[in-house]
Amino acid sequence: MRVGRMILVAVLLVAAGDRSHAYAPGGPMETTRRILTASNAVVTGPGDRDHKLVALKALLRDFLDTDSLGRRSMGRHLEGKTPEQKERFFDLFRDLFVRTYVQRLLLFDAPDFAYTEEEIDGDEARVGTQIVTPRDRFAVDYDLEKTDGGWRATDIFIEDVSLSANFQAQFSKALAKSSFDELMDRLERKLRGKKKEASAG
Amino acid sequence: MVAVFWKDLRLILRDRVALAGSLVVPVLVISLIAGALLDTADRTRLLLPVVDEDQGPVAGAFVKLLSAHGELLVVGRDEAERLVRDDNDAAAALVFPRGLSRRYLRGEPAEIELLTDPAQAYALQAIRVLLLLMDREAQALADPLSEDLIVVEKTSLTGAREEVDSFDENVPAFSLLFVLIVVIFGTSMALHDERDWGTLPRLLVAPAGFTWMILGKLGARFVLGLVQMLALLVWAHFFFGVALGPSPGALLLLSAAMVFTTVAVGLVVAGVAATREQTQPVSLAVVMLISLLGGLWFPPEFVPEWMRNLQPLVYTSWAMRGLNDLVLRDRGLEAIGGAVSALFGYGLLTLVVGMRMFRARHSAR
Repeated sequence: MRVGRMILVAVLLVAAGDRSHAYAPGGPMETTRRILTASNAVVTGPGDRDHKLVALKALLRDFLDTDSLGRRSMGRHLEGKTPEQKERFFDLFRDLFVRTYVQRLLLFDAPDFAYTEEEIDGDEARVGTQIVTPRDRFAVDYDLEKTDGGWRATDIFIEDVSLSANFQAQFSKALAKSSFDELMDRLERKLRGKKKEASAG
Repeated sequence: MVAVFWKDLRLILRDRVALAGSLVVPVLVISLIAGALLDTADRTRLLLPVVDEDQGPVAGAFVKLLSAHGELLVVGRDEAERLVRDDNDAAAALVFPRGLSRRYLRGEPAEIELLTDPAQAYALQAIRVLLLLMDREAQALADPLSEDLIVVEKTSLTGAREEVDSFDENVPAFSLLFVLIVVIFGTSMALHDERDWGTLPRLLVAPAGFTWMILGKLGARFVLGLVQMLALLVWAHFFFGVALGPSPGALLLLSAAMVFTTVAVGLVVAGVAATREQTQPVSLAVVMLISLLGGLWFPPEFVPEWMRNLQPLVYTSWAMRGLNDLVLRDRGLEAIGGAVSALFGYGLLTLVVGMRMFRARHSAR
């Protein structure tokens, strides 16, 4: 099975070989590939789940532009909020988003990544990738934006469903029942509670 | 009073076998019960067939998690249904549907099927605990704000009911236990009473012959036991709401098979016991042993594997199988064919053995 997967990955890499040479170093595709390769090393490397969670969060912190994702997810609900409230939200959202993405990644025991396409439009780009399992492929596309620090992901589409849209729907639903501050308290309880559990474990 | 005391004591001490039996039997029975309850090391892990139609990372993660706590068997759907519905080897099977991982990764709720045999209530309870662990894992993977992404949909494979209550579980077993006590003690003692009263030799030389005379006596015990069994079940039905299945004919047939075999066992006890006094410890030993091994006290999953392997050899386990099919699984005549055949076969064999033993013992005198 492992040999089969290695052959599959090799074939995919050879097939994508000509195009991969065309990707600029430090460009969206290469940035995404570098991060995912490093992520794969963490996922398949030693250590328990909590250990991997911490390592992946550190790795992805600079790649994922969570403030941009947060703004998109919270939308108009951020209007009229004080700087302190916004800061609290961005701080919590950073943890929430990274955790959600990492948890999805950790579902795969030994993920192989295939890189399908790169579309660049000025300072914006979309990179198509796939998580390849022995029986299936799962599409994961990244929207990236060029910043002073390089290309950073502003949204992630898992199987064509945007994570920020997913959060937007969840926030809208939650804010229909409770206030902004109550939602922040709830998020804090869930996230910080889990942090405590993870550090205790 | 002292004279009567010494007379009775001498009578008791004279029958050494009965005395030894009275002391040894309780020790043996207590040891067996302790073995059944305390021998947890030999107890097999909970069997949970899993149908992985998803073949994706989410089902894979759950299979890995559940494997740590139960005996997972990844099989096809037909095999899983057979294990739960036909063989009753597993209390439930879990089906991870095709596309589960894809839906989960998209953040959409997905349904997992739990195919159950509600008759195995204790094992099902243990499986529910496993599912709670799985749910906890699913929540850990899900977004903190998302609603439950995994919904478990239960389907009973063995009857219309999703749940059984403790009356349904316990009353039929205790009814059978009561009939075992009454019939085995009654039959064995009645045969010895005839000898003690001096009427047995006269009956044995009567024109009808030994076999028919004994069968006549056993027939009376059979009718009494059958009426007791049915009366207990009907009482339980009307006063405790215990379901008796859709077929009165099946209930009558199964009860007749159970009581017939029990009467035959009473005859064997009468053959083994040399005196009326001895029938008590022997009857007690037999009743305790066959009710324990037959699953009248504890469900099969509570006892160690060596004890479970012995169960098919004990007719009470077939009786319980039939009762569970009628009461807990709402099945009819078609479901109890195996149990009834086993009971009648066991009963006939026991009757022949008992007849020879009883004849041999009384011919020797």
